[in-house]
Amino acid sequence: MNNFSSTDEFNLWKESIPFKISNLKIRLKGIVNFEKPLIEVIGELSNWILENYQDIESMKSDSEVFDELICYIGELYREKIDGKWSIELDESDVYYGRAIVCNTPPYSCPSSIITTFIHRKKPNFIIESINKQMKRFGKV
Amino acid sequence: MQQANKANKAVDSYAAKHNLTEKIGWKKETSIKNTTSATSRRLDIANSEINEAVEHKTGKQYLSKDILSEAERDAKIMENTDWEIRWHFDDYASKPLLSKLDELGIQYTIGN
Repeated sequence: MNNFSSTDEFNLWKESIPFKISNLKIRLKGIVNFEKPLIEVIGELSNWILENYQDIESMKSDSEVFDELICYIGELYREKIDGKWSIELDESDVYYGRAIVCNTPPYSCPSSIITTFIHRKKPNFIIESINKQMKRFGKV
Repeated sequence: MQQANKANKAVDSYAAKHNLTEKIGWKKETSIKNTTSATSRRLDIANSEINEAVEHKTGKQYLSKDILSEAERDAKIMENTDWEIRWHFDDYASKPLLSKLDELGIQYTIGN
């Protein structure tokens, strides 16, 4: 899980988001067609994740891919809710030290969305989650 | 203080019994920001890797104003996020309280 020990470390990571998303697209060339409508892209990406990662541990151990997925999913949320990337600095918070996407005051944690998806194995989980956030922020 | 300690022990005992360990991502007494305000909802036991939490209640529980408020906040969090929050009563929960949880879509268990 991408835990950050400081805001500087998080900011450095944030700058690498576009690069990591490009990497993911290259990695999944021929598997996920990122030119398709979003709902189809998420469907293909979800299938690929479930086929390749049986559990949370296998996802976490493939840290490079996990990081790229966090960037891609987080950017989707950010665009859909007009949100921004941030880091949770409240030690008592469930997402302490993790990258979150927020639109004040609520937030979403992309790494949690990915691991929860793998745990629940519901094929439509990610798209339903995005739709829920869009509805919550009046973007539907 | 004594009551808080007792509740704490009960949470520990529940977590141990159900293998809700830190090793697999469970943490005690964390909080999640409310989805409709800048306040936070404290979670007795939560796992942010699978977005699941347990609200643990010790002793006899009734549908008081405070309990209703907690239940309504949990229902709102579940409605607006991917979190699943279930309640556990280690002793007794009144029928009106259980009916309210049913109405709000909150799953619960009773007993040790």
